[in-house]
Amino acid sequence: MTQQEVAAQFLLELAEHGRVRGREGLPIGNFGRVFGPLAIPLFHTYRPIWNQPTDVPAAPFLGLRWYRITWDRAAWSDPERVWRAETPTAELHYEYFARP
Amino acid sequence: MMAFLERPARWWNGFWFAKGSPYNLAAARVLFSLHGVWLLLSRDLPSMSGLPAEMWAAVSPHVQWRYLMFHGHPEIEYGVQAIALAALIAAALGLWPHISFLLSAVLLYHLAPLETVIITSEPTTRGFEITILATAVLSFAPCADVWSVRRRGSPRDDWEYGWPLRLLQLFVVQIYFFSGWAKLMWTGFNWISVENMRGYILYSNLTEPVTFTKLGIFLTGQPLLLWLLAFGSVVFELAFPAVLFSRAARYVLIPLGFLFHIGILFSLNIAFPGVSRLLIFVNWDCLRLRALRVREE
Repeated sequence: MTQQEVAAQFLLELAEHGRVRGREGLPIGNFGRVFGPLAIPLFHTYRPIWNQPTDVPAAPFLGLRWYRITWDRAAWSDPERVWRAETPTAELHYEYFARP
Repeated sequence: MMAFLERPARWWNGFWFAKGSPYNLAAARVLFSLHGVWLLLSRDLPSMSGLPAEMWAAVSPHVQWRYLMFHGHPEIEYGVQAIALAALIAAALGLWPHISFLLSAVLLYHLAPLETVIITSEPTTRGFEITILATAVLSFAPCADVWSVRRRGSPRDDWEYGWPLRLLQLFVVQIYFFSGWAKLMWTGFNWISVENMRGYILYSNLTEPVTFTKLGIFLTGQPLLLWLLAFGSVVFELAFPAVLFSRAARYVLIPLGFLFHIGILFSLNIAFPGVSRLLIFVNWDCLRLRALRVREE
């Protein structure tokens, strides 16, 4: 396996582990293991997208895709265009699928 | 001493060796040690050692030897973290502060880079900006003479409580001052522009799933406010060292610092855990005396 494949497999397994726990209604990740919601947040704060088991996909994760997302900086002078999501483009850089 | 050096020397001694309060230094002791505990238990630094070897491929031997951190030993790192936590808790309680803070400083120097080691080996990011320096300074300071589970030793001169707190405050000030400095050095005065500020806010709000969007969305349509925020941010950061010299500046800039971080959180979705360190500018001794007076009345 290449270095990229090993790293991707690790991340895929991590995501799948989280998915399984999320489906079972268990906490995902361990940063909140002691202080729960009072744990120090990461630098960029992101809200959880899986708040209850029904939010979590039922099917196992089989692959992982890496996108590079870019915005047209010129369009930033017009926030309305940005909020309408006219400018972001997602370019697929890498994908990995678990081996059967 | 040469006459022209007398005045700066007086100023220097007045700045560093002014009277200090054992209570203010003890508050700094508790603040920095508990912040370290909070940070360590809000992360999982030892697990980074257990990442696949391929993810450590770009970590140079120089970095590994400098911090004595190597791939494949998470169980050892968990042991190191447990000792660091014990040392920080002992420091917070005022137990053997010299040893417990020195041990904390050394172990945090080793542990802190783990969080970012596969990207950068910088140990002073992600919450540990000044913690390692502060714990090292406190290991040489009489910071457990009060508010400690152990009885204080022989009486000390007031200046012995002053210089360590001054130094810690200087560390905190540098975070803000050099943030403003970097903006001007890297981007120049163009950083203070509507376009730049709008770009920052849009970027921070478009990387889904962000937590807060309302303030950011509102601000992007307010050019005057954006310019004022950009200008105000740089002025605030460059003016922040004034808190070292002026009580009036502390009354204005410290509360403003809390507002600054709240604004950044809600508009840029950036959390700065180190904001709690602004509390070392509070005169805890004065608050203590007021509380005692109120209790007596």
